[in-house]
Amino acid sequence: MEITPQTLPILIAIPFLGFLFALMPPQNNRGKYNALAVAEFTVIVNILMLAKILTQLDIDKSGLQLLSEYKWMANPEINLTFGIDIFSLMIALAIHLMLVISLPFAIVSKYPQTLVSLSLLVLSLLTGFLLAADIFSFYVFFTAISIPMLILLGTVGEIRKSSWMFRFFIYHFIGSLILFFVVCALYNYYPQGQDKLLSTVARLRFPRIYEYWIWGGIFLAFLSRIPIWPFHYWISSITSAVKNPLVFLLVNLMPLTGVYGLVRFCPKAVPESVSYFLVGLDIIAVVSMLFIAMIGLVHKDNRYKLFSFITTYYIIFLLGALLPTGRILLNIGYSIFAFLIIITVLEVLSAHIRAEQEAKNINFYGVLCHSPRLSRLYSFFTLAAVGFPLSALFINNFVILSYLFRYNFNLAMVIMVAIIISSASQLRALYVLKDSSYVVPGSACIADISRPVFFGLSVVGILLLLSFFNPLLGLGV
Amino acid sequence: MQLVRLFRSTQTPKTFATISRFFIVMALIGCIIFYNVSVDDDYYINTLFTTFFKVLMLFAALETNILACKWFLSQNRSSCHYYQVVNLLLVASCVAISGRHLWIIGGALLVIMFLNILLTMLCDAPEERFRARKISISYGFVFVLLLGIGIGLLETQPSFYQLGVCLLVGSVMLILGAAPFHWGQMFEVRWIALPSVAFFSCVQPITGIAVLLNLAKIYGGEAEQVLQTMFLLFGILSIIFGAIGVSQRKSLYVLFFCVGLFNLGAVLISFSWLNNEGIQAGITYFLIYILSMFGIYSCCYGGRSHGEYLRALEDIKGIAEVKPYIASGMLIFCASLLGIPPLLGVIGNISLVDILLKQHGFHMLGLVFFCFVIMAYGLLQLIKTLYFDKRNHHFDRIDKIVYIALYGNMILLLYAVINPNWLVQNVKIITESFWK
Repeated sequence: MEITPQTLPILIAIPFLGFLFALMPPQNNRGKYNALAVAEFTVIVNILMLAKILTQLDIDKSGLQLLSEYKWMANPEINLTFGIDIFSLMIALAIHLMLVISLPFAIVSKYPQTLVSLSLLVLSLLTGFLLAADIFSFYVFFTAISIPMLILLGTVGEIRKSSWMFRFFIYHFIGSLILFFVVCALYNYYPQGQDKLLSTVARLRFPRIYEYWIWGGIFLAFLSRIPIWPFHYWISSITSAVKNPLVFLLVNLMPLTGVYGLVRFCPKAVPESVSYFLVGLDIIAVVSMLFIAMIGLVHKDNRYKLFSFITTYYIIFLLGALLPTGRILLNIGYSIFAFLIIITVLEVLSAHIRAEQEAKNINFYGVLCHSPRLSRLYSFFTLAAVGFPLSALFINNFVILSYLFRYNFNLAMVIMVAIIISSASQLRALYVLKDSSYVVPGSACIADISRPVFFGLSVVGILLLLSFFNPLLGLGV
Repeated sequence: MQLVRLFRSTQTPKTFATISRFFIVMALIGCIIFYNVSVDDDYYINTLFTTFFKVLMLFAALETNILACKWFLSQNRSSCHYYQVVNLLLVASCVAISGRHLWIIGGALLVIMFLNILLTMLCDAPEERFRARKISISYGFVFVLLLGIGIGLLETQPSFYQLGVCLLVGSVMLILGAAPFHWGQMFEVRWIALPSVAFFSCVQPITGIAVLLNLAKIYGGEAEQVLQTMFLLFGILSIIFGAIGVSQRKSLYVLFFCVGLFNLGAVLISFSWLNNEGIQAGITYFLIYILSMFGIYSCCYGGRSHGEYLRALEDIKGIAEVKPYIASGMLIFCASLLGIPPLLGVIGNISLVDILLKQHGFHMLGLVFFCFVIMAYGLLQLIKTLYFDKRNHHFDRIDKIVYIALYGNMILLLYAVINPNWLVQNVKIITESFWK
């Protein structure tokens, strides 16, 4: 199949069609598996298309490729443009792989078809978000994710405290509204007839006072999705309350939209007028990271530990993205690719362990002792998470950290401390699960994962291992 | 209709609905055929602009007509009074929209107000009818006062010309239900029946906006500043009260009334610049909001339990579990009203924010932003009630017509989202004809 620029909207349309098809089966057991089959098929088709696009992209070329433009409105003139580069492709691929891995585990929820269909809708919107090349389509997909996520959280996620859901939506809405006003303002500053591309935003010139408002708005819109102070509370509350692993993972993709947005709006450097305020942002981010890492260490809930690990790394990616250089963009992309796959597998395995614990009413101490397949996988992915050279996360994080050290040594030292605390938290969780000193012989054990599941997740592990040598090697390029 | 009522032996609500529909369709055809035929340019004028609003109003009335018939059938009540009043209202509205002379417009507005009072008497229970009548008559007196003094000043006291224009516009704002005159309608919708609520929310604003623009064109020259101030003032008050109202309401109809109030305020703010761009932005926003309100009221016709139409927010708890299409419809149209893309509301918001930025209305932008967030909180309560709360009612089977109306609105919405040029270009042509 020949890849043309028109392929990119098809990547967005396929999961959307999958969403519509997944709504059709009846609400029974057979319907549930039909919906799952539709979802897996849809996602796999998209993965194959993304892999094909990867073979045709020029890896050394900077900027978006395969640009396609669609005239949407004539007055005001708004054209929707889509494009792709290695950075967005890696993230899109990782998100698709997340869904492929987690969907079969998450299907045991109370509303399986709602979960499957809304997950596909969220996937379609996230794909559109990653492929958006102009300011309007970027805004459309950035905002559109809120409603399906809200419905997912309330129905499948079983969030009982409505105040958390309200906060989730209101923070998202405020961020989106701010971005909307900024986009409308930016529109008026583009020269007549020029495409309103994301890549040219940083080159626009505004009067000084407007620059503060516009860039302040851009930063606020994206930071509202990242769990740094003062936005940290809502996402941590939501995340610790969500029961379903897929919903947990999708909620934890929301900070990624914030990081990605900042990367797209200021790919090389933050504009000079606001770079002065970056110091304050760095400090807030790092302090938030440190606190969340420490809370993760003392918290007994493995889910919160995973959340603190995720947050720590998102903030590292954020700080890396805000560095006055565009040279580590690909490193951030590769790192995010490995990071998303690692947290997906860790979360599905943790969900399996939790489900077994609740069903058999057993303690979490030493539960992995009698589950060799589960134990091997959990250990591998935990070690990959904490930074062992088992995935692309290792070498690329090394590069990002080295640039952070070069930029601000003191800040980077605090970041290192946060990483160490977060890693210690993950290792402690692993230790507790493998600590056989509390295991009473003859007591109930959790069921090990089946051989096909073990085989499938091992393939994912091999993919990660290959990505350590060359992130693209893991994808067969 | 009276003849049928007096002489026909078998009468059902459908009988009068059919008659009403027939006359509305005839009026529609008449409007389109005679779109540029005027009686006298000083008294009654037909232009593309007036024809557009009349056609829109008649289409809107047709849709509410069809849905209202279902209400009368389910309640087993006579629809003669309702359809008579609606048809007369449409005639008066057509006159008010196309009228050029002060007495013609004033007379038509007076008839509209009187007929509004009659329409508010359609209530679910007799004691509610008394309360609604009391409020509507009081507001009727205020209206007559404003209109009477306004016309009097314009005709007899040239030195009080601007005050006269003020009072005249104020009387139209009262009919529209713009803040601070919204209290009456807000209380009334708690008691009056769904067909009347839907008419006031979906059809009446079309008349009101068209008449307002008509007055702006007639008096815009000498009283431009007064008009701009009035539009701005009423607009700001409407979005503030609308937003606060949405977040506070327990009654479904009052909640949607407040949503309508907020959107009306946004439209008035757009109009306040009284230039081509402002009016174009305002009309675009207005059309999108009316379509969304239609969708919402179509969904309201689907919320019925044991034959009773549900009015309280609590009554529709968990409706998504058994009526997913109605709940999804309400969700989609609420999201459109909030301007969440890729729904139609984002186009309305683009028009509004674009005009505010071009006119350097930054304080207004801040106010709109703040009010949008408050409104979002209110609509979030609705979404939570629809999807996340435990169901406490059995919901009746929904009529096919309701689904047809809902899907029709959604298709229109979808088409406008995919091809917004169709909407924007037509609005541009209509705005250009407004100034001719």
